[in-house]
Amino acid sequence: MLIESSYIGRPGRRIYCSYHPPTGRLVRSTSVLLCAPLGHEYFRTYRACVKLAQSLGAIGFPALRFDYRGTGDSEGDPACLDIAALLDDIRAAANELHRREPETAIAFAGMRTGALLACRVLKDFNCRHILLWDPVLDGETFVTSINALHSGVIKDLQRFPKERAQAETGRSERVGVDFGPHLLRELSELRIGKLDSTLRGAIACQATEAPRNAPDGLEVIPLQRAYGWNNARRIEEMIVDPAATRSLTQALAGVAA
Amino acid sequence: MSDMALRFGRNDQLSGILSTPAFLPGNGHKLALVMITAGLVHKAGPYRLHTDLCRAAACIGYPALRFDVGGIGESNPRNSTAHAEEAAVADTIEALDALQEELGCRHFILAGLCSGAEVAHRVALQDDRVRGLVALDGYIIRTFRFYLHHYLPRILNWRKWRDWIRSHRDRREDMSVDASGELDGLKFWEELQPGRRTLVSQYQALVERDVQLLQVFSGGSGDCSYRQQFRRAFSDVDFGDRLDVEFYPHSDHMYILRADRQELVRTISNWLIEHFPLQQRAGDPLGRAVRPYPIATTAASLVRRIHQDAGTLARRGTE
Repeated sequence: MLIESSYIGRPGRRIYCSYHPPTGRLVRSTSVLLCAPLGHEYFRTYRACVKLAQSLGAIGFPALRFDYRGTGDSEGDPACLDIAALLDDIRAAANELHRREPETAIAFAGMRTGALLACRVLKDFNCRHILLWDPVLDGETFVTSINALHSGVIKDLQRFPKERAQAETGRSERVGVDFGPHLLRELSELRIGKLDSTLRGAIACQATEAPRNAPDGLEVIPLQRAYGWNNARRIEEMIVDPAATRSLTQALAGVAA
Repeated sequence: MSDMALRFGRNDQLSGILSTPAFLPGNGHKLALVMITAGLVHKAGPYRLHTDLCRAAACIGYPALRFDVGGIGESNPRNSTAHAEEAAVADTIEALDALQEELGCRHFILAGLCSGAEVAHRVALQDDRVRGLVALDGYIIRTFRFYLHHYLPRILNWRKWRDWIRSHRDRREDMSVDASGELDGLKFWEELQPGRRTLVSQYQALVERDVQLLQVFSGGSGDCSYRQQFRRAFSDVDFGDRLDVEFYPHSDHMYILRADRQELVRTISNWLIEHFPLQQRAGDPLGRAVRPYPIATTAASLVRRIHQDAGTLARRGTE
């Protein structure tokens, strides 16, 4: 089956969506909206998100991926991004998925900051199932780490012939991506916090970073490898983790119709 | 300027985004820019470079397509036993075919970074429709002077030694982590680097076909360390006025800094305008291209393949 891509929304800020139809005979009554990470991690995880969507489609879960406005192939100026805009985009994408699959309940899958954002809109869609792939639990920790990573990248003499000055990068630019004047501050105020105890699905994470008080219905899947998010030498390394993809897919299949 | 998602190729296996200008030149769209992806990076390009470049090209009047080669992003893999680079060449030619069929384009400018530049180079050699080639950190030969420029500063800089040691330490730690084999198919990219004599004859062939070349190298390319290196390496090719070379010594290979990407996009845009001027409306004080883009006409021809806003999408089970 072919992935169907389209633009939705108002001119000037349309977002790019890619719909993965189920590829087999089985068609489930749950569809999945995948929320990608922000910043340079979007590029590192693009393939992983495609593979997850394909894996879900192979066992009957329709799936939709999208690019937030100002990122990837979507329209819009990244300098204008804030949390409200990102959440609006998630809702718009979820509504698009609902339009395509009106008979299904929507589950959310989020990777890194995508998980952090997705958890803010679960109640809007009566979401009962989630997949969180190496989620950012605390926005402040993420912003601190990406600030440090950016400083390391511009001084990396394996990358640049000469160190680059902070003044050569935009004020809100972090590791190749402009976060805009508001987004970093707003991100630092977000937490995943306590999840609804009735949620079911899975969290794939490092064994040492499993969230406390995760609902009993969320299977904790230990990741078999470290992704090196804070390593300046790995900022362009694609995430390739078929084991995690399989485990997350099977976890959802075990709890969602 | 507007972006349209589309599928094309045999069995519609390829996915792309066409950035279309707001205005149509008087002689129609005879020329289009095509961005070719590199490695596992999807069509937006590293840090959105392809998106920015295609939109910039469309804003100045050139339709521009960025697409995923087979097996990358939203494109299905090509069912063949060909090497990945040969498959990418075939995919690119199908992209040209699609633009010719749908927009009437007869000529193309190919652009790519690294392995994308190599694919663009190979397609340019095979396909007479290619009139321009933008190679970002593409093929180049190391000259003697390269080694002076490249290694002397490094030997004298203790920070370089520090970072080199760290990079080798990190690489040893990382080598054990991926046993999936998913990335094995990319290893051949390094095996197919042509030698200097082959490249000389290839560039000569492109020049004889009047293909315009823009070779851009970054300080982070690893194979180019001074501005004159490309011309020196291929001094036995008579490029005439068909070659422009740019060297950004301060940039890394991926143009990670936004300011570097903006400078690159400006360079390529100016090169397009200089070497591939659009037909202009006589008497227009701004020298703009003529009449508004006939969206309805082109949309009608593209609608059977374009996945646009709600209402035109094929429903599962009803195809």
